[in-house]
Amino acid sequence: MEAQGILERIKRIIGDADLVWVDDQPGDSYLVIPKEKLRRLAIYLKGDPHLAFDTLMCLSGVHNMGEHDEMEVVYHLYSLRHRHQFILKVTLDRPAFFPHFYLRVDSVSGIWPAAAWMEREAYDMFGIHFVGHNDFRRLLLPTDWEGHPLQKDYRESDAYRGIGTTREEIKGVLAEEIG
Amino acid sequence: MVYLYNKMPSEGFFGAAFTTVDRALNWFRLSSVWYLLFGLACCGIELMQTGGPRTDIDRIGSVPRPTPRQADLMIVAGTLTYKMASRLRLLYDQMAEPKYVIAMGSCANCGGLFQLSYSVVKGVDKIVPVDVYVPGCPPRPEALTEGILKLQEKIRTERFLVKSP
Repeated sequence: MEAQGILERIKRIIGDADLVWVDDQPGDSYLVIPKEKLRRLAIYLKGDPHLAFDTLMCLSGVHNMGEHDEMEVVYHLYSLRHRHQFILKVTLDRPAFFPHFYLRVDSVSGIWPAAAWMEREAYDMFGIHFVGHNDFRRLLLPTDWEGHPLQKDYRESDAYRGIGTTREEIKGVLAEEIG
Repeated sequence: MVYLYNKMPSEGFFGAAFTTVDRALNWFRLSSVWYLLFGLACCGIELMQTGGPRTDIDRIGSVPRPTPRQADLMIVAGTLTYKMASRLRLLYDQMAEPKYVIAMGSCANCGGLFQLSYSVVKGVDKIVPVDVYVPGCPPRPEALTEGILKLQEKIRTERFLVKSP
């Protein structure tokens, strides 16, 4: 099924309110959905015999610090049965106060088990919380790490467990060049 | 040895004898520098090549050991992250004295290509004392062999039984 056909079917399932279909950008077209509809839509996307998205190829986090501070979770879906693919996006606001309270989205690890590690990685790097995950903790970084390094306003701390994080030689000489 | 038999046991006798034992011990030690396998990244591939048949460091007495208890030398080959740093220190502490460390490659020397990253230690000398730095990205097997030869020179000059020279 082509992307337009998939879109029509999705609209028939959850209605076309608050859905944003983006196909004028370079790269693949994608559908932005509100995060309240994600879990319900995900169940349909996997269970509907005409869609049958049985594979979650990739789950990624994106941090945009443009006009307003927001984060995205991108779901690349693929159907091994019908050999078609689709891209979903969920946008999350990131206000200055209590951002971790707003960076919450339903976990899809119960629907696609492949999401379990990818959601943990997204939490590790971006600080996005996935509600309903079975074993939710950091994936790559140590458990006592502070902050989420792929956030655009992340500042590296001066030391980790007493290990300095700066090269002594470049403190003075190259500090201006590197920044 | 003639000197040893002709003289009565005196301070000079013992001094001369100890120097000789020292030299012999150093010769034994530098001829059997067994290294701990510590391949962390792509430098580990070159480390395997160095142990392989073409640049065979077995001929200068260096053989790989999979356990720190039997190793004299730790070749840190590759990028060390903060998460791995405590493991590196633990393995170093488990090695028996006297022990030596070779930092192999740019990443182990100073962080190398990843020195602006958030997760990479800027040189293993922040964790353990380093005897020989081998530059390169990654160093060729000849370079690592040179590093081990340099370490052998260092061992040769050490006074193992005497506290101060």
